Amino acid sequence: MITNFTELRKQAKSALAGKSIPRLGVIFPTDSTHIEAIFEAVDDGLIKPTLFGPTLEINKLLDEAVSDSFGSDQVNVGMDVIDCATAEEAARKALAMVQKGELDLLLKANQPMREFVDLLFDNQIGLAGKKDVVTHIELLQHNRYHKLMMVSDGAVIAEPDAARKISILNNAAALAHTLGNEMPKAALLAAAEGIYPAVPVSMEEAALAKMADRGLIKGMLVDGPLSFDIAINAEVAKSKGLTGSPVAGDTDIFIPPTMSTANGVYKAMVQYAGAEAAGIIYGASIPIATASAVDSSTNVLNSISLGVLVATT
Amino acid sequence: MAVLQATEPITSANGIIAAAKKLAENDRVRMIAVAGAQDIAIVGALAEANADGILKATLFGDRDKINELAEKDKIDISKMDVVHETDAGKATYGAVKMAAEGNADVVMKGFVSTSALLKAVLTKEFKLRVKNTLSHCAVLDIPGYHKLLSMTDGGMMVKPDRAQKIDILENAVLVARALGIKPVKIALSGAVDKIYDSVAGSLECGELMKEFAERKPMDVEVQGPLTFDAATSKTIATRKGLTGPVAGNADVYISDTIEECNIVAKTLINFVDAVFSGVIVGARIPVSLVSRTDTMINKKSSVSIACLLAAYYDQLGGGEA
Repeated sequence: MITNFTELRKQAKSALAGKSIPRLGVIFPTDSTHIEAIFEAVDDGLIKPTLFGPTLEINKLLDEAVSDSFGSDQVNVGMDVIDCATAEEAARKALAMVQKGELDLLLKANQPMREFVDLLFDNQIGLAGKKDVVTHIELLQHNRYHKLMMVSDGAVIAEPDAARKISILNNAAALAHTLGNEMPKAALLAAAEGIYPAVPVSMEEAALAKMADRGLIKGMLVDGPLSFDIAINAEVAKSKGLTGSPVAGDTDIFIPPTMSTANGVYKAMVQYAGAEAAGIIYGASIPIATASAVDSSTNVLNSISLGVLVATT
Repeated sequence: MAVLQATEPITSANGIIAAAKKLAENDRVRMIAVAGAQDIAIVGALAEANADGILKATLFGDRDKINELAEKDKIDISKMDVVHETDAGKATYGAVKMAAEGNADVVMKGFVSTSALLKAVLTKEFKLRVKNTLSHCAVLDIPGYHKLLSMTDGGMMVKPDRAQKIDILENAVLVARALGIKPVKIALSGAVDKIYDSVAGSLECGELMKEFAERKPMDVEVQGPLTFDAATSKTIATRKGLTGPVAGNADVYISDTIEECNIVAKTLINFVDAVFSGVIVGARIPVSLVSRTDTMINKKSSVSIACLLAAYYDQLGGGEA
């Protein structure tokens, strides 16, 4: 079971043994953070990239990255750049190439997440139909927690109903399985652990937990409603008189009730708690690695590694 | 009472505690009426705040129990008045009545239910009701952020509608004013930083923004939707190409749901050691509540912010902005 990003990167590499290097399309990598991560991933033999964005700007960033890592005499880095003036053009061209089967995974760089997600469901060039279950999953590593934390969905499904929450759970469990966690524990997060008829979120989460108890949601343990502090700390559960939860204090998968909540949690973790992170859009025809404005180049590299692992497993 | 008006905005939890102490020295010591005081976590925090010269307290509750708990934990309660009342309902009534009669500035929740306490506060006979929405404001001191951030509402309104969100926002403005913040920069939460047809919450946020544009509140700037990172980091707001008066510099973050505020705040408390000062706003008097699991500084800054808010209400003449 993978419990940190160092292992994740190793695993991604060993998953490639005997296979061809996955072709990564990068949407609008117009900053050094993304370029550095792509360089390192190429150096590791993880990917063969095609960059979609303004050629002049990207070549300049590539030159800078080359001189930083190898000294100024080596200039030919062999990365394909497809000239695109805007992020939207970059996304459209990259998606078209995926549809032709010419790319194995994508990295969404400097395009606002929602603009990309809307294109992903576009019925002409998208990679997912209305019925496909596509979710965003953020993987976090922090030294105050004993294992990787998965937070979903902070970017694709805005206000998931019960059916969509089951999809979010299933996708997260599938990713956990890929990471070697056979029976992940999922917490449906709420403001408190109580189940109150007047609080719709608590009723829905309780019903979902009941479904999981009856084996209607498989491959994972689910409990909810749980407050965030109960989900991460069994002592808090005990002090609130909550006993017998198979999830409290040992959560792998954190499911907040809305997209803005999930987004707030992982941004707070990265921006203020300094968590290492990786993001992925899961469930489309190919995996899409994601990084946001808060992410360091290490996090971008983590995202690429996660995408590679999913693409090859 | 110019002496009360903070000349510089308060930017930390310690600053809140220091300001409450200064208020007690320069103006008068505020009185806290505790409903159901047989709760050692609360008595302990109040005794310490009392010894620091921040406040006075009247404890409504089971006198024997209070004495027993204080003795066991070696807490000096000799400087605080105790009103013996074993019945939770009567203790609650007594504490709220004391505030309604002008003899206490803050009501604090002890070993009684929150809903019973708030119900008492909103009872017609006490005339403490100002608006229909009471909201909880968690003023967070987040290491790494250059000022205080009020997150609201993570405790009261389950799924606020537009009118209730405006009440929540106005309540948060009162707290910000009590902290000397002017203008108050308010971010409306979102998972996105723009309005998209595919995100219902962002459309709703757009409607709320229109309403504010019409109201033109004084010294209040509102922007939304804003993701948490864009609301609280200039660097990230710039990277995302966002402009506007609030991006990267929010004083207040208004959440879409009770869960959002609660979960994000707990993330910051558990992983970043953010200190929060919590208070319930919307009535003519502040209602203070702390949790047993709160740290001492957290409890002290919570009672301190209630004192600052009470003083601000005195200035306004009755709690209505």
